[in-house]
Amino acid sequence: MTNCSKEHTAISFEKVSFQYPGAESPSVKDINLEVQTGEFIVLTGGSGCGKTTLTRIINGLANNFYEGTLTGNVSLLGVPISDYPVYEIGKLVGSIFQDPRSQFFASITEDEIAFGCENYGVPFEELEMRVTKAVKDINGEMLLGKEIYPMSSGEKQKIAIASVNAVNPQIYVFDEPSANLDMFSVEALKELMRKLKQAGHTIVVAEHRLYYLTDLADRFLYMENGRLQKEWSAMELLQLSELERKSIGIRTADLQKIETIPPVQVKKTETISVENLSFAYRKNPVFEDLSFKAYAGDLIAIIGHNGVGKSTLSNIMCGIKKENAGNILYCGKKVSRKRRKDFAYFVMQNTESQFFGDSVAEELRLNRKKATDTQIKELLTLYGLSEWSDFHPATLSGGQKQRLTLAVSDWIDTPILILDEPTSGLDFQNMQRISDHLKSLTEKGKTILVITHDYEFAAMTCNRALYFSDRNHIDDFPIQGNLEKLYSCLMAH
Amino acid sequence: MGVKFDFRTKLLVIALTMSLVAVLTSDILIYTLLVCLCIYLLIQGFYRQAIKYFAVCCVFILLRLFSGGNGITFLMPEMFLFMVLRILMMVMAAQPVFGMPPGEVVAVFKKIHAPSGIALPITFTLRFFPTIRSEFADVFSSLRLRKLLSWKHPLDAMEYIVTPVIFRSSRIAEELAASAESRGISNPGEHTCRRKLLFRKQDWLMCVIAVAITVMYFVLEGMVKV
Amino acid sequence: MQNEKTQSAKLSVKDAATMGIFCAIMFAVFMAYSMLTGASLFYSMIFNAAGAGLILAPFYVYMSMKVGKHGPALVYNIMWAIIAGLMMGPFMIPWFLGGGIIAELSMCGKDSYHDIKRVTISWVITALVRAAHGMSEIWFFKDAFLATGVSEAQVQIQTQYYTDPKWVLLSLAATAALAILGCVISNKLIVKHFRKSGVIK
Repeated sequence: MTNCSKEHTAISFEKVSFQYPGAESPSVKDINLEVQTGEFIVLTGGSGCGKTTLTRIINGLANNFYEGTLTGNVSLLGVPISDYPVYEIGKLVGSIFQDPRSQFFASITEDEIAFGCENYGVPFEELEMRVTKAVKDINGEMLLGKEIYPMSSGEKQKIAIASVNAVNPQIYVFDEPSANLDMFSVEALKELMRKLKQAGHTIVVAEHRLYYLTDLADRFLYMENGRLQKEWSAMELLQLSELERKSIGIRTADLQKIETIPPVQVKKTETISVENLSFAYRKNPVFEDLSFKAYAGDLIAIIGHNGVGKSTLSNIMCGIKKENAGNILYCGKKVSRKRRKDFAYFVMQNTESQFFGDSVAEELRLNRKKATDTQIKELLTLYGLSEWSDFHPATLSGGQKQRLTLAVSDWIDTPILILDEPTSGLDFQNMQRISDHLKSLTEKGKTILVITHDYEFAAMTCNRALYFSDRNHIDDFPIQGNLEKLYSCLMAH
Repeated sequence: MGVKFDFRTKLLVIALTMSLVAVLTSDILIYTLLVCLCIYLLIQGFYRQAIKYFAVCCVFILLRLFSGGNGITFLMPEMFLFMVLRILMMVMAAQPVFGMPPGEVVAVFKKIHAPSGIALPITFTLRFFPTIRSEFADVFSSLRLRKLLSWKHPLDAMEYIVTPVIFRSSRIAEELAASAESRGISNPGEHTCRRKLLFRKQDWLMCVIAVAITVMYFVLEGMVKV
Repeated sequence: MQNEKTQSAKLSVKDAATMGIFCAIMFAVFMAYSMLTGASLFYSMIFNAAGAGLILAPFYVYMSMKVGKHGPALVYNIMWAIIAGLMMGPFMIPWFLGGGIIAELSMCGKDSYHDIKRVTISWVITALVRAAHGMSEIWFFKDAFLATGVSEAQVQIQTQYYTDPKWVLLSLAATAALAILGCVISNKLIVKHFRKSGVIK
């Protein structure tokens, strides 16, 4: 690379293509890109468009860790990336990955923050200084000395950022950092990114959710099939019409533009009645005296901050956990714990833990041994999975996995369906699809509860919200006409 | 929080306990040693564990007294009760080592220049251990909801349990490794550690006490035998 | 810039993570299983290692094939050596270490970690090492136990299983058989799930 603006170019790609080992075609093709020092760019596009791969090329993992084939020229801070050994790249490029749960090592906050510095041999006296500074930068004083494992995803991610921060790389790469965060934590993430930008760091973010990045990013790059297709400034992105945005298939850049669904006619058949439910985990009350009702055709967003018992409630409703007190009535009858799974099916957040078959078709057959091939084909077509019928479920993308869990739940066919964060990490099209499916299920008379942090999804999907404000109070309100309230509930902490 | 000991102190206590467990025969000496170990755990802040082990020991001691040296049926012969008590004592002595934070374990490995081929996997083991339960729990819940768990077909059950756990663990392994790699874990140069390994006053004290107690027990054991 | 990587013989961080995490799972499963079956001393003495050889096999086979190069058999046994050493006494360390070295030596040669037969052999060795360690435990405790004043007859009855070659042989044979069965099942899973999904080459 001979470039006169060498010291101002942080990242440069010249005709770069990359192919994973065993893949049939390259994941990114013919990329030309220059990122200036201090610039903040966002890579967006549908699932599988290659944005994650692009971040992996920058942090050197594509080549060294995933062992794929890279062609073209990549330079970091004016030096070809091949001149750096893999462990050196970490000093220049800090990486924050999608799932905060699988990127920490140590059990205690300070140890984790020091991890990178320790590996690079930062001397003892300086280590303490760097850790203290990194903790201060994330406002993480209250996390000091605590165990990381039980923390929320938002807190874990803060620590991940601090750990990278302590090494002090020039370039930061984020791979879908908001996928597992609630809206309050997304706001905190945004503030951290702002600080990094102000300190002069170069930042590259691969992301589906765009709303929180519009006042930070200098450029939005849209990728499709491994190629860079479009480029917008924040202003241009905000000016896209809703029609254009949806046809390109990206998530909203402006939460104000989201519209609610038209009011639905909910039937008067009561399907769920939760009466005075209480649950305590090792004598620590999770919730007390909860009551609510739901009707056939209801599509309810369950919201509230971490640890307020949303997942616990779902576990109790389908009989995995047992309540300490209270009753659950399904379709007007009191149902014992053992029989609840005949009424309510729970799609958990980890889709991976829910597949047991060796092909998509087999996955469905497990729950209906006598199903004919045509029946299976019909159901898979409905969920857009028919092409994948013979593939192993583990090879599906996140959105496809989520749809397969829904297809399975159709087969099991309980009147009540509960989902935990079905849209985490999904692109616009997959989110839209899940949203449409859920709506069509409620039209058939099902009652659906969705635990979600996703404002865009909740607003365009659900008719009601149940907000767990504290452990003995639920705020029950229709979403139509209450978008501001929905927003403030999702932002509450 | 309790007193913190250096890992060398902890290892000494383990070694001494082992030698005592192999030699002691008198019930009274064994029971008092149990109490000593409980105190050892308590001063380090392992309150819950100390109480748990103590309770289990009491149950087994009562069982032994109740059975009068003949064991309880074919299922629990005297030898079994006797062995459980001894293994429990070793576990108690080893508890402070099991409870060491991974950061400190890594530091110890660095201090003793352990080869990375074994030190690195152990770091991952320690990191992953607390999460295993929830990984299996998720799979079991899902199987139950889909009504696929039936002990009539043990091989199917094994497949349904094992497969998703392997898929998930393998992915977690990859993500953890990527995160470690991007933070320089394979840097061949010198690694430092924010935890200083120091052999302090309390370590000297503990070692002296431990050795003294051990010698005392050996002497008492000799006297009992005579 | 061309970066065609050939798989190196050296263990990478990814391999270390795979080995570390699967050893953790095997240890946890073994603990749970031993607690469930521990109520029966007869089972614990004769069939504990045999059952473990069966239920831990899928994790071991997957770990070996995923890593695909030398190391897993030795690393797995070293981990056991450390755990057993901490819990049962330092004399356990050379026992498992020796077993690990033999198991790893049985894997000598190129690409043996992708060969289910070779992996099975190393697993049978590993399982037999575990089966026999239970016996050495009893042998170790016997003197101390006798010294507590229990009658020789009592000890005889209770250690008969481990001093009688018939029982010892039964235990070892059952262990080898179930370890092989475990690997056969694991191989089916590998083909059906892990090779199909491309997780294992």
